[in-house]
Amino acid sequence: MVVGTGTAIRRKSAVVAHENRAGWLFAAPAALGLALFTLWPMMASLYYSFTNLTISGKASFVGLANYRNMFSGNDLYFYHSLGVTARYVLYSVPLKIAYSFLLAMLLNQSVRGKSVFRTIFYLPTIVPSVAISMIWMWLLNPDLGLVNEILRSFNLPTSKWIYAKDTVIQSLAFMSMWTTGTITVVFLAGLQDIPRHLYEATSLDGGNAWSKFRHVTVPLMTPTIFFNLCTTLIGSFQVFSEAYIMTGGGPDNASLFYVFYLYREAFTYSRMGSASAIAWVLFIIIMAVTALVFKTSDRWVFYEGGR
Amino acid sequence: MYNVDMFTEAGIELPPTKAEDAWTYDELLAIAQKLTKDRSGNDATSPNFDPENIQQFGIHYGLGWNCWYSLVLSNGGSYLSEDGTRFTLNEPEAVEAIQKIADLINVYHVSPSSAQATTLPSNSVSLQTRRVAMAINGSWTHADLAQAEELNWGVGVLPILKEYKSYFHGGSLVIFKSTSNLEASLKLHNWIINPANQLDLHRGLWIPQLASWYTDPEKIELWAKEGEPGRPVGFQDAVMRSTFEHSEPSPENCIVNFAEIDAIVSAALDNVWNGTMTAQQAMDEAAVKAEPFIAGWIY
Repeated sequence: MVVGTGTAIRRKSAVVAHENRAGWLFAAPAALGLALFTLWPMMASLYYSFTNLTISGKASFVGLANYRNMFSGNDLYFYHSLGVTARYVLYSVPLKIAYSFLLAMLLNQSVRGKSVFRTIFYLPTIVPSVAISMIWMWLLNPDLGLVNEILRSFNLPTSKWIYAKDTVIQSLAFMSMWTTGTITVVFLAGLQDIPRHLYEATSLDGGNAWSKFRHVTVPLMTPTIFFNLCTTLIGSFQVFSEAYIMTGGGPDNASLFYVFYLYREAFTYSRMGSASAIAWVLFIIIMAVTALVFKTSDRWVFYEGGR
Repeated sequence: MYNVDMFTEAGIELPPTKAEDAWTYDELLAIAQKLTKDRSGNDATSPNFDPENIQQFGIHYGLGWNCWYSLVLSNGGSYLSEDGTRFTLNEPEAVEAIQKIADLINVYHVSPSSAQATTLPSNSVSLQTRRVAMAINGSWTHADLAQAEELNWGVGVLPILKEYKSYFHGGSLVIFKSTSNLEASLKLHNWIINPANQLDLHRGLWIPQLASWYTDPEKIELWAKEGEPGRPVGFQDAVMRSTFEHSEPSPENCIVNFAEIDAIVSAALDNVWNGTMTAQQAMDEAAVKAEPFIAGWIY
C-alpha cells in the first residue's frame, strides 16, 4: 500500500468531508421523516402514556396509573385482548409460514405459465384490506357464503365462521393465509438461492425428493424462514383491520384484538393517555417475542459460509 | 318503515300510524311471519318453511341499542334504576323485551341475524329490492329513502309491549364550562338547533330539537310536509307526534359512562342475538361487568 503524502491526505480528507456532506444530504429526507413522523410521535406517546390526556382535555401527569389500571385487571379488556391476540398469533403464524413455504416450492417448479401462477398467487396481497375483508365476509357467510355452500355440497358440517365466538379467531387466521404474497416472494427468492449442485450431490448419493427437501432445502432456507417468522410475528400481533371491518371485535369481544382495543380506547373513549400506554405495552411484548426468536435462532438457523 | 307494495300484494293491512293503534308484539310477529318467505316461496307460517334459505324477511329489527331500547321502555324496563345506582337491563321487563327481539331472529326467523344482515344492503335498498318488508330503524334512514324514487314506502309506529315509548336519538352539543367564549358558543348553539337555518337537513336526515317545531302547524309544514320525498303520508303521526308525545330521555345522552356500559351490553347481546345465551343470562353477566361504570343519570 502506498502511503499518501501530506497534500494527498489533505485532499483525500476534503473529498471525504465532501462525500460525508453529500451522504448526509441524501439521507436527510429519510432521516427527517423518521425523526418527525416516527421518533417524535413515539417519544410523545411515551410521555402521554404517563398522563391522562383525552382528546378534548388537558393532560396531567398520572405516573404509572395507566399501566397499573391495565395490569391490575381493572380494565375489562386488557388481558382478554392479549389472550385473543395471542391465540390469533399462534394459529396464523404457523399457518402463514407453512402455507407460503409450500406455495413458494410449487411456484419454483419449472412448469408452463409459471409467471402467470406467481402473479395470481401474489394478487390478493395488493388488494386493499377493506376489499379483502368484504370478500371474505361474503365467502364466510353462514347462509349464503361459498365456503359453507361447498361444505354442504359434500355433505360436510358447516360452520358459523366469523359469526360465532369459538370459530372467529380460527376463521380470521385461515383467511390471513390468503395475503401471504410477500412472504411467498421472499421464500421464492430464498429457494432460488440454493445452489443446484447440492441437489445433484444428493441425487448422486441416492437421496430421494424427501431427503433433498429435508437435508438441502430446509437447512438452507432457515435464514429466510427466520426472517419471515420475525416479520410475520410482528405483523400478526398488530392485526386490526379484520376486526375493525368484519367483526367489530365481536361476537361478544371474541375478536377484540389488542390493536383494536387500543383503537377503541383512543377513538371511541378518546382516552389518549391510556391508549398510549396500551401501545407501549404491545411494543414491549413484540420486542420481547422477537428477542426470544432471535435468541433461539443460533440453534436452528444455518448460515452458509460460517457460523 | 315498510314497502307498501309488499303489504298490498300480500293483502295485509298497512301498519298503523297512530301510537294508540300500535301493533302489539304478537300482532307484529303474525304479520312478519306472513311476509317472510324462503327461496321456494313458503312463508314462515308454513311447515315447509326453510329458515336456512330465506329470500325475504318480514322485518329487519335493528340490533343497536337505538332500536331495541324502545321495546324495553315499552315494557316498563330501563337501563338504570330510577335513582341511577343499579343496572336494570337484567330485570324481568327489560329481559322479556330483549328476548322477544332475539326470538324474532332465532325462533321465528322473521328478522335477520347479524350474519344474515351483513348480506343485506342498507334499509332503503333492501326495502326497494324486497329483501325486507319492514325495517325498524332511525328516521335518518328517510334521507336515503327519499332518494329511492321507485320505492313505494310508508312509515308506521313502533310495536309495543305495554305502553308506546320512543326517544330522540342524537349527538349532544356540548359547551365546556371552562370556555372563555360563552356568548359566541351560545350563539352558535342557538343557530345550529334552529331548524330554519338548515331546513334541508331536517327534511330527511335530522329532526328538530325545538318543541315549537312539533306543535306550530306552520313550522311543521316546513320540515314534515307529507308528500315530500322523505315524508310519506302518515309521517306526522307515525314519526313526528308518536315520538314527540311519548318520548323518554335517550340513554346515550343521559347515562354517565354510556359508551363503556353500552360496549359491555352490546358484546353480551351478541350472544343473545345469535341464540347462544338467553337474554337473562347475558344481561346478568353484563350487570356484573357494568357495575364499576354505573354512575347515575346525567340530568
